[in-house]
Amino acid sequence: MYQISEQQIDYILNDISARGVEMESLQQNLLDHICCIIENNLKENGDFESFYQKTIKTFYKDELWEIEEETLLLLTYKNYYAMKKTMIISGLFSAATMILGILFKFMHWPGASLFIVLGVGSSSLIFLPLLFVLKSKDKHQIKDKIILGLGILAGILLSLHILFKVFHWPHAMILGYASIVLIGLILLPLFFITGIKNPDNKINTITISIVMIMVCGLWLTLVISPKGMHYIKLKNTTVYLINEQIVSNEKNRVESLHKNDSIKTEKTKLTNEIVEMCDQLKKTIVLAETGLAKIPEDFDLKEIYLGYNHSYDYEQDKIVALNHLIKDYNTKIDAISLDKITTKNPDNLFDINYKYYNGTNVEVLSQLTQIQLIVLQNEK
Amino acid sequence: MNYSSELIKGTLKTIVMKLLADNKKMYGYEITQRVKELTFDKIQITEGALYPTLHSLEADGLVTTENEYIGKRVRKYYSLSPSGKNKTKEKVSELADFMETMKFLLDIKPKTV
Repeated sequence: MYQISEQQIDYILNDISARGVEMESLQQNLLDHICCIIENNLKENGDFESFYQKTIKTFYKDELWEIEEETLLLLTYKNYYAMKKTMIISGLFSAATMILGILFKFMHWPGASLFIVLGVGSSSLIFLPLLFVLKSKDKHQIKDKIILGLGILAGILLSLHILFKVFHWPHAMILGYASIVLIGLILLPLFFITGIKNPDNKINTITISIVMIMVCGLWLTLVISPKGMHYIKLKNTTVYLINEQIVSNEKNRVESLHKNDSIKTEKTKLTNEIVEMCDQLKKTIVLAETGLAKIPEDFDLKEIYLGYNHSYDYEQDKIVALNHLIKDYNTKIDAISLDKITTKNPDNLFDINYKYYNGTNVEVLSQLTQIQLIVLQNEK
Repeated sequence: MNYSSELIKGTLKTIVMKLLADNKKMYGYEITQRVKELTFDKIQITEGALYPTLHSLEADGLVTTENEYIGKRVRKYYSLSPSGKNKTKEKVSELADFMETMKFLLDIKPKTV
């Protein structure tokens, strides 16, 4: 019986790992197995190295790492049927919640958002990844697996983009551009070049490539171009500045009207407080939009614009205070039959998060301006 | 005569589990040698088929392992878990039934009058 030295054990272990077997438990299995064969079959004065090299070759067809690959395959596809079942169930769930979401949305019933989030979420985070894992098993060539993976990834990114965009969540556009770049600049060339070489697939390759170009084209048609975006911002900012001018004129008019009053009425006090509170809220919004408290006259030169954003971090305490002021004001106004401040939500007079009023910053600014103008004009 | 690897592949789990049921605990090399002995060299389990199967049985919780240190190397002993013992009975009777069916299907079994 041959006695294996510690150096020879290290030699075998290094060789197994150099041949691409990385799982430690499998390395140990193979090491012990080879040692047993050597101990039982090699003569005491036999040539260890040549016997080892001959033995290890009987373990595999082409390469030793095939054993590890087979092990991983068995471990991964152990859950093949469970995965298949999960894929079908998650797919049906996505389809059902999506249909309900769209139905609820068009009927204006509550719960539509929840269904849509569940539908898009389950399809892009469970159904599509599982589809990739199961479908890639049928693809034998690495390039086919890569194309399938890229296609499904682009699909996931595009669905999440639409979801994020509709709900005004951050980074929606990054997801959109990432999916379009992935489809147009990576997936399409890769798919076309590999597919066109195969005569059986020629027509299929051409038609699917055209569909991909159309998807990218249609998406880019929906996106506002950089120049278009500039015009929108220019318009928003100009309108805002004109509104500010009107408010300022009204303020001056009211001030000169009350110049000689020795005692200010309670209504006038409330008017001033409301105007001031609106000014403060506007300042925070403008600051969030432009980084400046006030927009300069030469904003276009300095490229300072009011954009197209939604904010959710308005100063809630100021909004609550403004609502109290408006309520007080409206009760006082009732007695002297002047215009009351009316907003879209009768319960909560100024509520930027009001469920049917999903306004942009610019819309909120104009709502504040309207409130200011109503109270100022009441000071006749 | 050696049986083809396709035939062995479909029955390997059952062979390994039945051996473990009869021998309490065994290591990889021992399993290959025992099968060789019992079948007069007709069935030779390759390392490339045995270890993936053992890992899969372990992941399914049908076998448990125990390490024995022999100098610098580790010998992994495999034994059946309680659920593995039940599964073995199931698999053996399934295979026996299958063989009976095959005998009829392939017209090997002499027909009784």
